[in-house]
Amino acid sequence: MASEDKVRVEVLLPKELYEKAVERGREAGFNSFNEFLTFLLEQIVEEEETEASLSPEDEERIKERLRSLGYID
Amino acid sequence: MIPKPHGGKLVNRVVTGEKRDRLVLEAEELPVLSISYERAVDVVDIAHGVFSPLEGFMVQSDYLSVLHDMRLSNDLPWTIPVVLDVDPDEISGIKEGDYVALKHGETIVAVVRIDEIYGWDKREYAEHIYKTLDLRHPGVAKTMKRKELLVGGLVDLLNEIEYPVKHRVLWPIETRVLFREKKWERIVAFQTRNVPHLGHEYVQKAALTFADGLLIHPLIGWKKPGDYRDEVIFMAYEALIKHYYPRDTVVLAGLLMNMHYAGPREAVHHAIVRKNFGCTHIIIGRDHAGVGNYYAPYEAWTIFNEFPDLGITPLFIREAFYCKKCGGMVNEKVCPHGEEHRIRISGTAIRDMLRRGKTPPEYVMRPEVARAVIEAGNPFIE
Amino acid sequence: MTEYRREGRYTTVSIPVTLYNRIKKLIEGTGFTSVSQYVAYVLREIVAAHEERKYEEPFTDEDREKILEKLRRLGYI
Repeated sequence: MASEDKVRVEVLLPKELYEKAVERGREAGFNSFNEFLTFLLEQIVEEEETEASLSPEDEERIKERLRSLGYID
Repeated sequence: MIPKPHGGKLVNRVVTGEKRDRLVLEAEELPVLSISYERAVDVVDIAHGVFSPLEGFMVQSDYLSVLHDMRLSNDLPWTIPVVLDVDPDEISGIKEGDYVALKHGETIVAVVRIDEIYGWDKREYAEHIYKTLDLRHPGVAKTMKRKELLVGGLVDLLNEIEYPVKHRVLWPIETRVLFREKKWERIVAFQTRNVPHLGHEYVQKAALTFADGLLIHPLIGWKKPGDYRDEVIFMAYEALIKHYYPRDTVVLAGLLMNMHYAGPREAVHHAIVRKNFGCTHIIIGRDHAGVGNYYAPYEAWTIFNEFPDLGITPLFIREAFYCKKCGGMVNEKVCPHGEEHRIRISGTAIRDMLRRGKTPPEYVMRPEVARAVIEAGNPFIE
Repeated sequence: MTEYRREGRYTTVSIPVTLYNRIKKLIEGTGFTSVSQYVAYVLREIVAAHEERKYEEPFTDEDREKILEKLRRLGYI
């Protein structure tokens, strides 16, 4: 994991947005923009993943129950 | 909370006092560009902060960025270019950095500092803004008739222009003071160019249910034959508000602004402008600012997904109709009954009845509203 | 005719490849067509929310009085 994280991928941002975000990161006390961006994205992705974390099998099982109870067709 | 203006600062380019006296004198010596009524309306809107953060007509970087990315070059959402078109002949001899006077009719409306002179591709404009090159689209037709060059630059308003129901027009700084005075925090804007029927009332009241106040905000200015006259729209709404809205829940004010029929892009534009007026929400119809079949159904709703940073919340409220079974105004979302029980309200049918002096049925239009329109004499633009 | 140049308006930043891949997976089947687009979306949301907090109305008490006077005259208050 750790060594893989040293590999970085570039993403493209509008310059003006980048500058405002850098300012925001600085105000929030981060040492570098990359650190701020990574922190932010990890938090958000974490949240989103938890929401979407249902395995296909689990989802099918739940749907089956909802079907048997008549909630879905 | 009343949102801050778009871009953080409410623009004021209205020149007053001694500075105005001086500029008026100076303007007489300046080269003159004649502008159409529509461009004069743009000038007035810029000066009064309706288009904050714009302080003038767009320079090329902003123009292209708006066209392609729906954002100003500083990344702020913006979907309709605000550009001043000129003939090459008119500006021969004028260079960047010069000041020129903008004249409409006999009035010098403003002075503009020419920051940039650049060319544009009107077909590209039409394709991006209207999503069609069809000349039957009113926006496309107008665009193709515009002049060949654009000039960008800072505007200073010297004289107001003439427009209908002037005493009913409020500018952003005025509605902001008003909303604060009323202690409203959630304010919903309703865009219209029509006299209200029960469908409009239903949609407005659905929104008002969870807001503190409603800004009914008719667009005034240029109209086409067959449209309701601006005065009539105000009389109709005044009747409606008097008889059917609780005290202190509604502000009725006119908005002097051009109409483009640019559908989804214009829906976002309408939202940005209402944010400048201090609104927190805006009602967006399924085919907001649409015309013909140039835009996909619900496109005026989905476009908002691209703007997490808009600063005003769109309310997607479905069109209302009368259902005989429900016994009232409803919409798709709340009425289970079939089409055979539903009476859809047709704006054209209402117009025809009113033209013949006939009062539409009460489930279509409030009798007080119909009376106000009929008593106005000639309610339509000739 | 006009050639719209994106160069110069954009800048590159980098994120760890693991994070990049997680985002790529997350946006599958959504309206987002690239990781860059998603990152811009997130940042715009953050920046806008923050800017909203630090603002005061641009009018002086004197302006306010004048406007209130007009609003009273027009019957708005």
